[in-house]
Amino acid sequence: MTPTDEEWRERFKNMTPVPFPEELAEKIRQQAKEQPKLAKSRLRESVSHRIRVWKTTGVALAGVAVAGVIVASVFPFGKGANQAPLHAPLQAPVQGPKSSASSSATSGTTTATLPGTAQNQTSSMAASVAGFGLQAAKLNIGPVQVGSGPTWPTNSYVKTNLTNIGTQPVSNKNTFGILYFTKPGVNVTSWTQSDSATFVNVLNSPTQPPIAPSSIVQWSFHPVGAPHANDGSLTEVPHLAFYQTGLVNANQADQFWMSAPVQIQIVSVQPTLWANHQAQTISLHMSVTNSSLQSVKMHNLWFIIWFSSNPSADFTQPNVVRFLDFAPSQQQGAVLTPGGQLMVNLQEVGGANTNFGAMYPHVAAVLR
Amino acid sequence: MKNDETASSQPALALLDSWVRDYGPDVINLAYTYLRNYHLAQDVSQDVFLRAYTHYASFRGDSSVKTWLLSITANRCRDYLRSWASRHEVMEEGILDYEAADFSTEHEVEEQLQRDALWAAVQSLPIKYREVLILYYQRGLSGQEIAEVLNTSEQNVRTRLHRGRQLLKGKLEEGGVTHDTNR
Repeated sequence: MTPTDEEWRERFKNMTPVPFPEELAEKIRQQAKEQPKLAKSRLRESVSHRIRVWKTTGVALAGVAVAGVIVASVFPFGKGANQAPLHAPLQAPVQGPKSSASSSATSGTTTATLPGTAQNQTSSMAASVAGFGLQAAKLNIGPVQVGSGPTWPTNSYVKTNLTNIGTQPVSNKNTFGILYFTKPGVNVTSWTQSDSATFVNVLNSPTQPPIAPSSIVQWSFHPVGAPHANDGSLTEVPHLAFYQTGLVNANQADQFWMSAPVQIQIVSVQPTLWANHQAQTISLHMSVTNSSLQSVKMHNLWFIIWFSSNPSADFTQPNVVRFLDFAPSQQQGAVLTPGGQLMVNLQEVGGANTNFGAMYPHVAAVLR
Repeated sequence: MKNDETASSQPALALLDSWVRDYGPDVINLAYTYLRNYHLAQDVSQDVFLRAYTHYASFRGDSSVKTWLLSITANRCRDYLRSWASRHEVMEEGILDYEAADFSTEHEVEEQLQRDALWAAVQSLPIKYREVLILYYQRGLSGQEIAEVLNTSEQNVRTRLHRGRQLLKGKLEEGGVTHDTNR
């Protein structure tokens, strides 16, 4: 016999309710209270960085700065998630010390001091960041498609048209982008939910003039390391988003990247020039500690890594070298219990001309 | 309700408290309906309220707060189920075992939920049926409200409710249920 509507309702009324624990309510309350701190901040003014001693070993990274080949517009995704910027900020060709950094942070963001300049100094700045509020760039992005280019395999480029719909010229100084991939048929609302993602520049090359208001330009990028077939062609659907540099109040943000409740401590940063001098691998060794009362799944974390000459520069700034990455595959299944810690090694690939050893490293963790 | 109030103000915090108090059970029950995991449901519930809080200014008041929050919940859960994280859940299950000692209360809840025959039967249905069944019968939303939450037509909701009831009846009569592995 078929139950009536009322009988169904009665049955459902008696089913075990999923409780909403008071601890969860309190956690939400606490996290919400931290939002105003973010709302008041432009990162330059108040983003949290704890600066700690950067110990230098004094081992020179000979030859890094003299590499003559620029890895222009071709940067690996690494494990499908990291990327060096299209053109790393050029550094004076000085010796870059092999460096190790010791730093800590109370939020997902950490910064280490410049090697050789602040030894034995310890200072700390503001405390916590609940996330990163970003405003969309004044660009209309045309259909983002896979296509072919002059150098790399067929269908290994991502292409689109960009139209400046604002009133100011758009350039790498005021805009940065994220290219990310999803499997066909999968819709996501943010790059954080994608399979792989990388920072990209808005201009194809440093010599390209800014995009003038109302003008349209072709945009093209060859993402090495993004999901691809044996023949090198891209196998997933590309998506592209551009943001204005600078962080904004969460309420003004078009996208808000929520910080993960972890502390990150950079233990060491080791740049190694490739044998062919075309790029360098930056090995970043760090600890990730769950600072919350709930478990944190490593596969829910994205790491934003950036190197800057200015210790307080946020990752959106034009002259930083930035990467996106996540924990190595063997650590993806790990779950950090409250207070639990995991050592994580990330490997990024950057331009050969960048003196990473002379820049401030920063890491922030955001949630998928 | 004012739409122009910033989420950083004390009144907004008080408002958030009232949302959590009034709609927390609705949000977490719907999240559990999708995710079938109490811990994940808590994670998503937290995310939903913080998102609502930070995007309060964008809430236009053309739907109720309840349907707005449930709509965010449904979207966040769908995003999660489509995500890389969801597809790697199997890898994590072995690791979750050692968490049990620290989260005994949570596991007790999870066990209670898993023992509930009606939950088990509902969870064995495809998402499109279980979401409407839970929203209609357990959370007491009208067909129109469910249509708003799920961004579909009221007719579609009625159709799914009808079919969902049939499937649920069949599952309960069978006694045993097996989960749809495709969620």
